[in-house]
Amino acid sequence: MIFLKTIKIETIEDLRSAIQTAIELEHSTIPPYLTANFTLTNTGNDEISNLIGSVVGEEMLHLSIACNLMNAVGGQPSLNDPKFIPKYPGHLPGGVDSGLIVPLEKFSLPLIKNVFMSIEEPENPIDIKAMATIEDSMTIGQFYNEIKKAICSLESEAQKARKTIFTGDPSKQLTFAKFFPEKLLFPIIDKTTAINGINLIVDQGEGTDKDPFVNPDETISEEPAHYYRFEEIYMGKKLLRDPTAPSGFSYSGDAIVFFEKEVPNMKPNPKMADFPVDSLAFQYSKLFNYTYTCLLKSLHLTFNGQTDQINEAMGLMFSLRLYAGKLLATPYPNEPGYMAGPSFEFVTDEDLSETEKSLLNKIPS
Amino acid sequence: MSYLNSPRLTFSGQFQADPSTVNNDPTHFNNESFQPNFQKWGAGASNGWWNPEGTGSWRFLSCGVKSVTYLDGTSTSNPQEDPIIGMTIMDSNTKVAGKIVDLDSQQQMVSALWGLVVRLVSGEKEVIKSDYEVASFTNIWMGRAPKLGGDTRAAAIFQSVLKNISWDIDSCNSRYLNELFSVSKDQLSIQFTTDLYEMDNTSPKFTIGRIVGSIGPHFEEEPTFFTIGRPLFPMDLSSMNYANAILDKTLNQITLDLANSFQINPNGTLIDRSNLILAVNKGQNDTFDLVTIGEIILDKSDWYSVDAGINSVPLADKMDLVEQYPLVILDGNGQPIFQESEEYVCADKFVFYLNPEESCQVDLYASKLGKPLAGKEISFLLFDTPFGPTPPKVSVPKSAINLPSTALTDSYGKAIIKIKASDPGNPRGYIDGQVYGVAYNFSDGYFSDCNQSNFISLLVFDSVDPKKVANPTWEDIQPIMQQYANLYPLMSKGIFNLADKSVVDNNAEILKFVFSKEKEDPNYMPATRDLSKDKSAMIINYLNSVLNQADVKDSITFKKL
Repeated sequence: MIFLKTIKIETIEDLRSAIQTAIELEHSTIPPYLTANFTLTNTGNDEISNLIGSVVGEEMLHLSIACNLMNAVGGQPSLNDPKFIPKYPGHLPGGVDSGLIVPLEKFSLPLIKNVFMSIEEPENPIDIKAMATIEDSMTIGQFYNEIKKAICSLESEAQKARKTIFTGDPSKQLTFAKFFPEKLLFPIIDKTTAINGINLIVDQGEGTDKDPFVNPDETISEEPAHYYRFEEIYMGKKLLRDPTAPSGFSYSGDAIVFFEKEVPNMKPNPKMADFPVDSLAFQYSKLFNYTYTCLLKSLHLTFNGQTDQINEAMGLMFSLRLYAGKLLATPYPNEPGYMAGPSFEFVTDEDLSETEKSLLNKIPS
Repeated sequence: MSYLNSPRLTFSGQFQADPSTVNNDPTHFNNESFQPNFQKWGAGASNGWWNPEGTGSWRFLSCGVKSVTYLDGTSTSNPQEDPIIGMTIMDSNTKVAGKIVDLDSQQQMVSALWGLVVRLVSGEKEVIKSDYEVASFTNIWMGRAPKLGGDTRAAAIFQSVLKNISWDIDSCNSRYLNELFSVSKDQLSIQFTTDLYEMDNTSPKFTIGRIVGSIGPHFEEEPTFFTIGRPLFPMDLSSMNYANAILDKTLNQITLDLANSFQINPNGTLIDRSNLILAVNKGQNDTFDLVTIGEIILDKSDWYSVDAGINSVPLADKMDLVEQYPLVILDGNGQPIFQESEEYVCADKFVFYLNPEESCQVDLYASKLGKPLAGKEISFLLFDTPFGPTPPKVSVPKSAINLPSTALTDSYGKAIIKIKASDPGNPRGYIDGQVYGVAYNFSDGYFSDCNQSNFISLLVFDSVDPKKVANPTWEDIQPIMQQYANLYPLMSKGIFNLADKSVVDNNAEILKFVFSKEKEDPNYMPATRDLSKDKSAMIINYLNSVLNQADVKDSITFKKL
């Protein structure tokens, strides 16, 4: 389970700061999930890939909800800063130092079990004992609960003075009905819509105490919460309602088989700087990272008043996938047996390293 | 005004062009005979050529501003004197890269840049942001780097204008930017030369080449894709290539663009960097009576990287001579190597896509010694020699093209013609439509005397039965989708296998989204921009019918991101 540092939200500024952490947290799981998923492309693992992809899609939704919430309370989501991207391997944003280390790795069952399920683990997973809590820490569910409580108290305080904390410009609210039904991504304009948004994030991630399936009002089609979707992959079977099982559920559905053979042997946690500048891996890594940085900039504009930019962001997401494919088909320089891979770094093309500059200077011009 | 006028900046660096090459072979369009190895790396028709997994992207890489020339003709390349020196020329940072697109598998010599954004950037500050008007390269020269092979030996030029410009120059404290804004804030002229393109997929520089270019003022009424000036034709086309020059009366100088005119060593330096002489020829009837105007300095280490191959020659008291007589460039031994084409005609836009019953307008500009040539007759010829790989046979049936045989220039030296297309009737079978070439020259000249890059390229699409367009079934669109899946393996393997009905149906919303975009949008699908109006409508109607069915959702789009 992920443990976040305990937060105290007393002012509207505290609230905005907590929501910024939420935005960073929702984003932070996307690179490791995407990396694992990229390694499944054309490997005969479409079913697993679709499960991971469906989680990624919902993390993108959660990111969007958190940004809508930030705009609703008059804050400014920030996604275009180098510090926005966590270090991999490393802790997730807001996490405690003794917590889980999240890497960028190829897909494997241990990665699902030890990392992805751990990220998404609910406070009281059904049929799984609660873990001992770490002092001064809170779960993701508790973190969002704190935000909810703060919204309620700050708003009722504001109401007393005939004011509201929902001072944001409603035109900054993103909806994207073509891809996310309005019941999932809706304008956040008041306390009710804010609470609905947060509930949706928590339920899709963790499910409820009694039912691993997400409330059907909160999904496109009935699906287990993230934790249980990953457990399906790990158990190799679909999750079913099962009256004969003590919890009422069992992994007794259709088999989900993992075919390992074709998965590229990506070296874990690649870094652009580790590739020799005169290698193809470096070129592809730079283009991947540049495209990823463009995507963050595009999303920053999307959530700061230019909602139409979401269309450009969509194009960049596909482009990112193409460069990931190129990296994963490129041998890792000087590491026989390994392939290169995506590193999700902030690259604007302006910060060329000294070695890179000297290489470019060697090219005749 | 153009990129050769002042205020002008030059830039140099690298570019990336990442076209997909399975479609370099027209026979690969044939779904019936398509083989899986056509998607694999390897030369020749049995494989997918040198980059079967290209993304189609085109972008600037590490391009820096190297020099500026002010309105008064003075120049600097010192960042202490003008902070614009060292700023970066970049493409978009908030949407996908522009695309490089062949007109057709059988006309690959006018590839165009679509959806390119051009920005001038200083650190994180965006000083200028603009849209590059879609433009095709021209003057491709396969003899540029004679010691190299493949396309690495080639060079080509792109010329266009920058539009929709946003400026943020107030805090730059750049004299150059202030001058440029005051002269030409709405549009800018841009031209660049590309060469030394790396085609070896094992090289770290794969898909990267060298670029130098120039940006200057541009006004609405001027041609977009070339500069009316003093066109210089090489005497020996095997070792030199076309050049252009303008007479800049304000600065009393001739400004020459020689960037794509001389042969280079594999390391990019000129094979012969001897200085040249600019002269005029007062002689009549092919005789030379030369008067020297000045020296063209090539023996200068930054001639290419800083000056972008542009030379200025001051005229002193020789302006009248230059206005009156054609230019000649002489080598160090006094031998003429370039001669001005005294009377010259050039079409502005020269690449067109036409659906049946559509027309395009071609604007042609005639000049004599750089001045408008009025009342001059231009002839047009629909020719049938192929300009790319065959089979299938190109340029038939000729009846699909309706064009005037001649046109007369007006008092501004301009002639406008309309070319109308009708349905070619699927003459190529497995490739939609047909490509045509239209040559032109003055009626009293020869087509063969033209710059051989100067012809008009047309891609005319087939029509589709309107009933099928209105109510398409999967079987109607499957062959189109199969062709894209075959020809663009990166797309079909990496994102969507368009040949699979369930994939298309399950992603109907996102596919409709990209197939419905403006062709100028870099996200437009197909990236190759070779889909006819009818087939495009048929695909969108098919996707709409899928979306109209109950319970169909884009269930997997986000899983594919």
